[in-house]
Amino acid sequence: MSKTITVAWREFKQTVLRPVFIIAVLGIPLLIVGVMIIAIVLTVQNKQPPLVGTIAIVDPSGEVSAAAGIEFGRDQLDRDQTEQIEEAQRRAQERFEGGPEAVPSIVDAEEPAIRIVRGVVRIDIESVSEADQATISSLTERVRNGTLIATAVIPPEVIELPDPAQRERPKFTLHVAEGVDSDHISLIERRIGQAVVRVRAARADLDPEQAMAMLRRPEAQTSRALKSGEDAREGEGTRVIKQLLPAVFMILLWVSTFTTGQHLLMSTIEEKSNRVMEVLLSAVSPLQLMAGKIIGHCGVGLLIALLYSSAFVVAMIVGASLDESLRRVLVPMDLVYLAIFFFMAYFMVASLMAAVGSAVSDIREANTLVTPVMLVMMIPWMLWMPISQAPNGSLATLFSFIPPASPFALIIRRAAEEPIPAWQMPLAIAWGYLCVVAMVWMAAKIFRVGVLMYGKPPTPIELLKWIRYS
Amino acid sequence: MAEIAISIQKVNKHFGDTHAVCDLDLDVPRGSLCGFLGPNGAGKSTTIRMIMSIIYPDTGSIQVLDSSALKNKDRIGYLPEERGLYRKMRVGEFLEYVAKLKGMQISELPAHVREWLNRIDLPDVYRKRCQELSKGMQQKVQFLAAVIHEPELIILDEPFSGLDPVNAQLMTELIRKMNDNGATIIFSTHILHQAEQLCDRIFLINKGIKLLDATLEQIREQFDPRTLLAEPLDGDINLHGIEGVRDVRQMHDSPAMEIELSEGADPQEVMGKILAAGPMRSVELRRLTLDEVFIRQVAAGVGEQAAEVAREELSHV
Repeated sequence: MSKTITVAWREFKQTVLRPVFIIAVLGIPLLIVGVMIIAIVLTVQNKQPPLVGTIAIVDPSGEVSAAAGIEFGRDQLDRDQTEQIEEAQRRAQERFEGGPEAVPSIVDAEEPAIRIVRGVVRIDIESVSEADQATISSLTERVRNGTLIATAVIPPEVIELPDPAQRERPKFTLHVAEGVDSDHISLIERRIGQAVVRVRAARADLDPEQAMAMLRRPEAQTSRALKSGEDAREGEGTRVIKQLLPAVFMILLWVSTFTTGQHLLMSTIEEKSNRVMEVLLSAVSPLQLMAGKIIGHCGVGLLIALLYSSAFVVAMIVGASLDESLRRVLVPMDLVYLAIFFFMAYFMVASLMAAVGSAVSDIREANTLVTPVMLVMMIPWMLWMPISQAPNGSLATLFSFIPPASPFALIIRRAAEEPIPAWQMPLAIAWGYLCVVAMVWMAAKIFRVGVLMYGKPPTPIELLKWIRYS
Repeated sequence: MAEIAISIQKVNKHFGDTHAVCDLDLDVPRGSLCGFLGPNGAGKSTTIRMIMSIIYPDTGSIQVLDSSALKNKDRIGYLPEERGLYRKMRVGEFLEYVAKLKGMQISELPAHVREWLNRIDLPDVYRKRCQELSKGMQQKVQFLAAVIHEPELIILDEPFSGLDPVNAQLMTELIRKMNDNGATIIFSTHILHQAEQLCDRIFLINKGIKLLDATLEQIREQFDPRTLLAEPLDGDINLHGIEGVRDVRQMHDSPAMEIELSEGADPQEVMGKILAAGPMRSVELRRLTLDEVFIRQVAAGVGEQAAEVAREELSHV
């Protein structure tokens, strides 16, 4: 046993202390987090180039143009800080002697009426009363040559009170300049659409502000009625995290087992290609060597899983201090299951990698045997969405019993909200560990023969023959 | 009867259609320094791997230190023919790792490793990475990995291959010293005269068949060449008529003549008669080399054609 531990410790030390490993395990997540922080900072700073220019609204009534001025203005007022609101009001006052209250009513084609100042949008609205083809063509031409950023043509029927029986929505046309990005196009579409609704409300003798307020959907404050008798509030954020949880667990399991499986493969191939294998076999048996390698790399995988899951748990604890409902998202039992599935997945992957590593003489030869293993390792990624959506579906149940996909399928199911039938989990775990024993046994058989074989890599049939050797 | 370190009985090993080792019987006495000889492909490495329980015989039995190599790994040192190092590992770390696998105690290891590195003239490589060493230095480190735990049985497969004469001499001295300290040593080589200089016992093998198993003394007695070498000062001297001389041949690569003695002739008497026949630079009793013994054994066992092949193989060494 002490020899196995000696081999295991060397494998662990040689892997963990390598700069490549430290960079890969610590550096890459830090890099990802760093990039996310930079992206958030840039978004917050709103570095998107502002939309500045004039939109022509072809609207014989002139009402939509006026309402659009308010809508673009409200967009500003809704979203900005008090200071910016005051700034907008000050600018509006500067421009219109009537003050901010006068803004909606002063719309004139001759004098671009409304200037809304903010980080993203600064729009002048040009109201056009002639809706003939020549005017529209001329406005479209102005959009083309860049003097207008958009032209909206509002047919009269669009602002008429809609017939509730009419399912099809009336349409207006919008010509947008080439350089306007899709976010800005959406904004323009939304604001002009809201302006039309505002005009309709006014025509129906409703207070437009009140009508708009009526259209705002109330926010649900959902809570779960727990069996314990308590009620636990559940926000949108909590729900999103719950949906992501199966993926988080699956990725954690996959990264920790697959990374270490790769290290195990490379270290076995290195010992064969450097011809150090026979030196080792003079001191330890092939089984001791394989066991030592598997245990050593299991330590590496555990370290990776611990690092990442600790970071995740810390994030959840911090999150729970801000939102109480997050406390119920991650329970200690999840971590127990994570450990159970980690060992199951690791020993399955490790036995495959040890067998392949022992059977080939160098990394180039390994490709032919590693490719099928890699394909098998990709199965969890294909399973994630379908199993998350139907955790008790036939696909999920089937893959819960097929190694090496079973631990990944099971952890996705465990983390999903729908509970697994009580009989399935213990049965699947027991079956999984039986498969682990069988896979390690077969790997040991292949390893014992493979480590001393040089030359042409074996075919799968030859590998089966090796398993049958005594 | 001497104690036996390794006992091989009726061992056979096949690789596909190749009969690599045929009905091999072999006893290695404890404390002996044995050469396991034969040309490339003779079956030496296969036999050694079976002794080490790295591979197993198809039939027959092998006893190593009264048991099997598997049970006695810590008492055996093994330098395989295909040997390497962890390229990125430091020399000291590698040797300590191997020593630990061989059951040595951790506390004494660093000092022990440094002492052995001094003995093989590599005092400054303890902290160097293996890949930084020259090929010769790497071979010495590999040798050290086999003997670092000072085992009682040492098996060295082609230990001198690739070594320069100075390092080969250093290695020879170390092997002798370990043997003097009581270790049983077997080493395989296809360079027969190396073994002749070092061994007290020889096993000859060819195509998996044992040709010879004897001490050097026994071989010299068994293969008395009954041949004299005489180098006359005057090249015209005629030795054919001397009593007790069967044949005289001029050697190709020297002015000396090879004189084959008649059955029953006393070499000392014939040497006196040759000296009386004319002025001589030297007259000596010729000893058969192991190469010649090997070729003779192949000829006797398998036939002249096989002997010719063996001669050809040895000439390429």
